[in-house]
Amino acid sequence: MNEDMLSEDLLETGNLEETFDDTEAAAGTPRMPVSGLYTVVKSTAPPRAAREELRLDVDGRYPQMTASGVAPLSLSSRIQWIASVTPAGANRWTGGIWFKEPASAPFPYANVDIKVSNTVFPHLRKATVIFSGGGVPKRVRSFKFASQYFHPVEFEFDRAENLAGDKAVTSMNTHDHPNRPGTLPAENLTIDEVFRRTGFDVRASGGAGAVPMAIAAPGVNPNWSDSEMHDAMQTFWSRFANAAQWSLWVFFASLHESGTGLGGIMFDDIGPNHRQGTAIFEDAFIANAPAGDPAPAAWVRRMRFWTAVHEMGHSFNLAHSWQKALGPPSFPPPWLPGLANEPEARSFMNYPYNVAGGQSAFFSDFEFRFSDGELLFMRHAPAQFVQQGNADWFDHHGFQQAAVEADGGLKLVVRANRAKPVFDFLEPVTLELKLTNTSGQPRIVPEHALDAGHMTIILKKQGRPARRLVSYAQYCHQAANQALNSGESIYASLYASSGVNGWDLAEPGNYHVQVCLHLPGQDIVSAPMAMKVSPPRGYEEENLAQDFFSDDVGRILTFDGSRCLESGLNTLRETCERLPDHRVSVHARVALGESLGKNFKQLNLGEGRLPLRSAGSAGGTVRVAKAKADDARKELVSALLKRPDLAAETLGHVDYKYYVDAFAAWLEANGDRKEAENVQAALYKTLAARKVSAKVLDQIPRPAGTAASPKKTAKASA
Amino acid sequence: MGQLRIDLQEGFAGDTVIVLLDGKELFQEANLRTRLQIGLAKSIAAEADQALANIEIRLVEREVSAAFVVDTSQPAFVGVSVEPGGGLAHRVSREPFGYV
Repeated sequence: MNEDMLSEDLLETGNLEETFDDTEAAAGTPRMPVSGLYTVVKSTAPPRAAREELRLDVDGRYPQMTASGVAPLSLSSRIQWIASVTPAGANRWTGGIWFKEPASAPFPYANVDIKVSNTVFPHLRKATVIFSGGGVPKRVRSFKFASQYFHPVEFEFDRAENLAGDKAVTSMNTHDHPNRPGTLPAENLTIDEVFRRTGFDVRASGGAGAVPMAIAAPGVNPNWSDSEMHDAMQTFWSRFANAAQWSLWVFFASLHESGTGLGGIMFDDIGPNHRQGTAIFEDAFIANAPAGDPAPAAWVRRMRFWTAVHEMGHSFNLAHSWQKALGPPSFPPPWLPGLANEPEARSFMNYPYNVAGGQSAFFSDFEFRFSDGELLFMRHAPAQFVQQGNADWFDHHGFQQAAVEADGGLKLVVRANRAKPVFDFLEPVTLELKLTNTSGQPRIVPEHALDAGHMTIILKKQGRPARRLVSYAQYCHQAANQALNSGESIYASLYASSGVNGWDLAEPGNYHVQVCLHLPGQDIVSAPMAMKVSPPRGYEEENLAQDFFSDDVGRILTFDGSRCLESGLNTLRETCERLPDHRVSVHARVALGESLGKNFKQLNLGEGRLPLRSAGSAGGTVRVAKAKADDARKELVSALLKRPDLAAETLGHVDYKYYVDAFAAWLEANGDRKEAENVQAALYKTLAARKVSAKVLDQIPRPAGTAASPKKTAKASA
Repeated sequence: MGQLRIDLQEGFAGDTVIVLLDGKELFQEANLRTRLQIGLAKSIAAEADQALANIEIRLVEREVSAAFVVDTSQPAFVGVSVEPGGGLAHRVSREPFGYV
């Protein structure tokens, strides 16, 4: 662990044998709820440092048996962690940390042991957390109870002046309608109380007011458009600001301009700060009780109440119950892969009329609450994903524990083989994947575990929705496993610049790359790797970019060459001429040389477009484009050996070794054994200077009397 | 003959959508997206000439289409969604769909 990152006064390391004494069990003491927010008892941290927080969720309404927290790492950085916990004695809970944000932060702990000193006086309540695991000394922190709620939030309810006040429903009697769960308590339930039970300290901002409707003029539509509501929010909401804040404007109106089919909408997906405003249309279809309903007035009041909480739920970034699994490439991602739809959930976020049995079945089981997954998200997800005005609508919607191993097991790292993960404009981005067995036992993993077909690769440019990298090709290998011994790693290269979705990693800017490796029975999620693409250094680069970022070039670079994608090949040749010393030319020359070095089969189907039919019936023939050995040699020498350190850096160690091995094998096959040995010697020297592991260096044939033949190594081997 | 409303609901993600009613183009729009907070991309109203209306939905880029017949002797409301696998699904209701 890099303890330099930790401000000394924020870190307390306990004695290695630190544990709790359970003899304090409070026999006869009334058990008081302990869930809520705790903050650090005493800190000498500078004022600018984020305070340390603990959220304990083990009793009270809908306990999720979860603890989460925020820990400062330095003046400007902090980590958010989440653990699932189980009771381990009186007022004591233990469990494993399964989530860290950012995952790469120097916070290696894997387990928490939480003890609460309970008392009937909440302000005297304290919690002590022992963080352990990760091969570092235990860390002990003491917290003081701050609130029974997990976050604060303010609501401001306004209505359009032409809407009768009794239609703006913010409370209801739970027993007014006879179709309800038999165990539902009779009470006057308010919207504020629903969100208090969800875990929010609800306050009112400003006073509920009426938005004037100077619409008597003929031709003025009394119904509301999204942009009109957005304007009204900016004008009438006392808290409006273009900033993230735990605050929401709720607007009650008669109808949306689209008509009676829209009962409400979280309209604020406009501008830089989403999810700050939501609206309910009280005269839409939600005002129509089903034919024959025994208590139509109560049904309508309940539906208006339900709709208001539903729309407010969207402002906390909750998706509909049937949309939880939506994600890339078509939609923004959930926080972690593996989120499941909840089509039958009795949640505020499900449509009552879409469940099996319709609205009657829904309300017969509905307990006026959110689902457990939604509660987990709102209480424990990183606040920026939930807080109004923060993450864009639907970006990081929802939240669920992936099958991530918290400690031991397997660890996946994404990295760049360079001092700083900064790539030149136009430079194809090749990263390295490293999968390590961090357990004490051998592990069995698929032989092609690091093949792109086993993983989800997410690219996120700062300020943009995340995109899923979809490779041009999926390989279908015969199923086979390999043993990975304790401490052993396997490596593979990852070409991340382009895929069938286009060039997702090309524009200048800051990016995060994260990979989820899907192995049988478990997902291994890497820490997000931060990287940067530099701006163009001049007109030449800007001008070339127009042709370079094309599908043809992406395919040629992915498949190490082509003899038929002429447009792309011409672009690569032009790139080498105009930017001969640029890193992109290393990639271009490799692709050009690889395809020129061998006889290249091409399927000829004649000219023009043909209707779909077999190549044989279309008169197709396979012709062979002859190898151009001299040209190939010239390109590969220039790419791989002229500036070998730069080539190894831009191609990545895995691919550099692969290409040089292949070149040496090609030289030997063409009768130039001496040059093949020289090439391997250069490879050894280059990788040794770059401090590549001895295990990899040992694979490189040495010329010192061993007479070993250069052998082709798999691109994805260690 | 009958009132018909076709709602393009879940799963549209920048698609070019063509809707044919009895073989004639009723609607075409590019870059159609579901507005996720209401689960609706587009609502199309039409009047069917025949009691049994032939409806065809085409997603141009995905090269996916679906054709079905709807009885419009009573007002018919058709909800069309793109399924997670990329196929098209539809449902017919005698009541308008509601969105929140």
